Amino acid sequence: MTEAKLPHTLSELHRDFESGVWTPVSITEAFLARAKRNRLNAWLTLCEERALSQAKQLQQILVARGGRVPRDSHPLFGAPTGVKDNIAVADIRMTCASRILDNYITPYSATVVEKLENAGAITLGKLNLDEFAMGGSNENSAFGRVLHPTHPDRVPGGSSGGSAAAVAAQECLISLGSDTGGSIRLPASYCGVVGMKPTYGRVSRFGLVAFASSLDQIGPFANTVDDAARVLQVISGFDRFDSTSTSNSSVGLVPSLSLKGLRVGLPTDLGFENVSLGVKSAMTQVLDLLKRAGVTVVPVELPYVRHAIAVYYLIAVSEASSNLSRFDGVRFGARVEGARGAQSLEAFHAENRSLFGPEVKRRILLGTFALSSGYSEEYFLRAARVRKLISDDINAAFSHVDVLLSPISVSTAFKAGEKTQDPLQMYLNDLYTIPANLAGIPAMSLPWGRDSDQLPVGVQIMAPPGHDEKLLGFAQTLENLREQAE
Amino acid sequence: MSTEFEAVIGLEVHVQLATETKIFCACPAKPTRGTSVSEVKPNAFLCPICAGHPGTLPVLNRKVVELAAKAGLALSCSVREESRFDRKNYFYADLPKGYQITQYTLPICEWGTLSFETQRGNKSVRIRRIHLEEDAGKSIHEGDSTLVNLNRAGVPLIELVTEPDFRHPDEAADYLRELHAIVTSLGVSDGNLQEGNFRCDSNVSVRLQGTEKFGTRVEIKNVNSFRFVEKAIEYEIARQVEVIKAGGKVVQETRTFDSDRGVTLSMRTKEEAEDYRYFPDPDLVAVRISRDELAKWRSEIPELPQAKRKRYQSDWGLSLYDASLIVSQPVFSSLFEECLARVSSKEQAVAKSIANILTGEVAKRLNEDSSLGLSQGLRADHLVDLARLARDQVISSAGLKQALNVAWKTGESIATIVEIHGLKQVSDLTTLEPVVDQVLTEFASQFEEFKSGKEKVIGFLVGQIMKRSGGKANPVLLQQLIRKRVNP
Amino acid sequence: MENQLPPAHQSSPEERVRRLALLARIKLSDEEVRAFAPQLETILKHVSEIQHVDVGDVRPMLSALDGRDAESRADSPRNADDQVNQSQRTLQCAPESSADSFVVPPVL
Repeated sequence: MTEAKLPHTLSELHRDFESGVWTPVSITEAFLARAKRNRLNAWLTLCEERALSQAKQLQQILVARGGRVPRDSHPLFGAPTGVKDNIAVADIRMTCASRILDNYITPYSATVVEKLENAGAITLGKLNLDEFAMGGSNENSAFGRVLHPTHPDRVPGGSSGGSAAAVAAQECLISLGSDTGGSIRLPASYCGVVGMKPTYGRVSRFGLVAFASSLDQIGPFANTVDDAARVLQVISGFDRFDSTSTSNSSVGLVPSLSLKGLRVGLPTDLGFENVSLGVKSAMTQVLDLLKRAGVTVVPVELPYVRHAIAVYYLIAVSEASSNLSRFDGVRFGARVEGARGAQSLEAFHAENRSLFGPEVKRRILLGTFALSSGYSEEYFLRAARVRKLISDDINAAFSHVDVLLSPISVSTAFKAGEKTQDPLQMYLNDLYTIPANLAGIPAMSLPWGRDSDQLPVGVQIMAPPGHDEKLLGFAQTLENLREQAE
Repeated sequence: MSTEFEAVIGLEVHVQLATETKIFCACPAKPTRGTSVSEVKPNAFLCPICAGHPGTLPVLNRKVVELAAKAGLALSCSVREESRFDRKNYFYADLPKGYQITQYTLPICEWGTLSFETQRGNKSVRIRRIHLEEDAGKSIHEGDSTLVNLNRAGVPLIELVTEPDFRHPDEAADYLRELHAIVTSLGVSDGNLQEGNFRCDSNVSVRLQGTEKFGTRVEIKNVNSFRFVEKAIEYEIARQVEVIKAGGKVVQETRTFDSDRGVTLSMRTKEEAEDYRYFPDPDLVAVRISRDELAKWRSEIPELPQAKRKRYQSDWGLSLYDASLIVSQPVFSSLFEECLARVSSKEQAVAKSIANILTGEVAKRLNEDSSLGLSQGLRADHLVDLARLARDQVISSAGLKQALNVAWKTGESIATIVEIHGLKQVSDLTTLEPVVDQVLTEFASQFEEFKSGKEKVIGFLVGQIMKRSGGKANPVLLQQLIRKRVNP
Repeated sequence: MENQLPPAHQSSPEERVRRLALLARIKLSDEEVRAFAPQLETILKHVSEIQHVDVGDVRPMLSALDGRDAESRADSPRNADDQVNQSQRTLQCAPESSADSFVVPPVL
């Protein structure tokens, strides 16, 4: 029996529910079957029983409503969803792709997960990532790398590689990832899906295992801008369990944006002269379309942005070195066998913490250095000062442009193993995405076709802090333009 | 201590704030009323947040800001409009996150003073800073393991740091008593020493008299009784002097105080000097206090212990001892204030008498029976009535004790109790004189003994008269009457 | 773990790695020390470029929320059942527990 066509968007899903093509249970089973095959190694844990039980409840609701989907109260009704495995789902294993949490069952749910599920989303399972979100290719997972959805010898990008690949490969309809220096946007662009990092503070971090607290944000992956917006609307908003979540209301309705007279900034320091052909071609196309639609393209100078990588790799690793101190095998998590016989508490801790992977260890050592006495002024604090300069540059740019446009990366998905020899090479790949995290502004990767190798390309859109709606509006308009052009 | 040396002492006191919940999560910060800390199961006051589970975040308890600010205001500190939390990074079994959230760079209060009485007169000590921080849990050694109890982890503390202005161990104890009285009377802390709510670290060094340079200082950690702090510092000063006199150098280190042996002991020195890698906590933004809030809190600060003691002495004639005792216990002082509200300013004797009852009989009963609460049954009107009856010699001191105990148990009015138990003593001379004469005649030989100087016999004679008068004779008056008959 | 390491500015890259690993409580094999030392040096050299940036008197930006008040909460506890639930679920995560306590090797 041929399976009915899987819906590509929430709208399609809800229409399918109402026409009876799919039911919450059957759609869950269909996606679970694909997830179980785990062709891309995107999934670390599946919660079958839990998902089916959620589906059954939703099914009852649907029946009680005479087959009408309650879109207002449950905007994500029945959406098969994946959650990056550094975001807590109560009573489900959460590994952060690390051996040190191999057996950890978290006792509580992240606020975003509660919100998602209250809105009707069905959590299928936990998605693979670079260990503790540290990486740009999902090759740093203790449980094996994630494969690119269409080119298995390539990387899906990271650190939310599993989250991007699973949506691209239709193993779930939407997913959640986290973005500290580009970890949503980079895999979104490599895999050809929409991925968005909201304004810092608009989505609660309670339940997100902290990597760099002042940079981390949770965000959605989806096939369309509209779906990404809907997820963001559900998960955003003030959370009393997160002091860094802003009292702004949740992300609101996406305005329809007229492009005529809109000013789009092109940062010259984040230019596309030296990028791959595929990226250059995509950027050129986008700009063409925009100009023909009446947009004014303005070159923008962000002179301090060239220091963004150095700043990021000091601040992020410093915060991370402290955030990861809680992993010591005492109150939760794994222990090294035999560690219990250690001669001292120091040895016990050190033994257990050797379970971290090499990239995590490197960053902890770096961060420990940057914060240590005699060096913190010159490294950590100085980086924070340069961060201010970068952020001021970006905010100044927004005083005369509406949005910023740039590539996401210098190339499309690279081959597995290509950049693992030299950690610095991997870091340099984050050039385009890091500035948005440093300034706390919203940023998205919008898929824009494929290159000559059929690898997806993404373009980056950035908006002023708090203007997530404007970003989504612009992105949606651009998405429509793209579809018309195809 | 040898007079060629001078001691230089600074104190750091950790005070637990009187909140219901911990500083960054909703776990209880103290046991429910009636339960003692030792009765609470280990790790009952625990949740993923204070246990440092991955993904959890701290959210500040508003009340701690108010209490810390009030402490600062009472100690004449400047209270910062904007202060910040920092992370102090180190590893220990009872430190769940691998860092303590504290205030390093921008503490909530700075530069205040505390004035207090010492045996050498009034002394003023500078308070360098008051900052907020979270407490750690407790580790207990047991066999080949250490057991960790995180009930205390996350309890809110303020740390008050003085400049090294003390020169004598007894000053340190006096300071602590005064500080304790202040924070308890403000309601900033419950100040329960046994439960570790008020802990003192002392920094002690010595130097030759007349030198300006400070000697090497030694820290004595976690002593939680004022007497022991004094003893620990005393011992440490002597120890350091001895070391120097023997030609050695004082080692900078941390020591503990063994109260049984009365000595300070070196803690095992750590292998590597700790580098705490302080940096601002990115999960918490600035702590801001508005001018309005500060003004409101300032207006809520009650009369401070020193002012209260002075008032009790000057307005009511209390002794320094009685005044200090009452002021040092918030329950006593609030009850006493209620009593004062009921007496006229001319009734100093009554006030003094009430003070005596509180510091004498009431304190004694509270010590004897720890289950007894002051609020159960005993009221201001009881104390005032008792004091007035005693002043008017309507009841004897034995009668007062009895009436007090009954009032405490039943809550009935003193008038009723005196009636029911027939506690009115007879002071009428026409009734008493004949009985006195009778007894002195009957027991003439004992009276002779008393006349010849045996003071103790008067007790026997009074006892006999009491028997004859059904126990109601005023014993004080009886003594006077007997003595009058010695020298007519 | 070594007792006395030379002060940081005088150390070799490998000594530096060992000292940092001690501070960070991570046990590294000799192989790891040898591998990490040059990597850390390379990265440090790259990030040190910010020391040449003229920062003037710009204040450090520690958060994208600088300038905002902390959200704080009222001093109210959970209800008793909730509290029991929270503490039990949290304690259950312990790799080793005894008499309701977390267990570690002897501290001293």
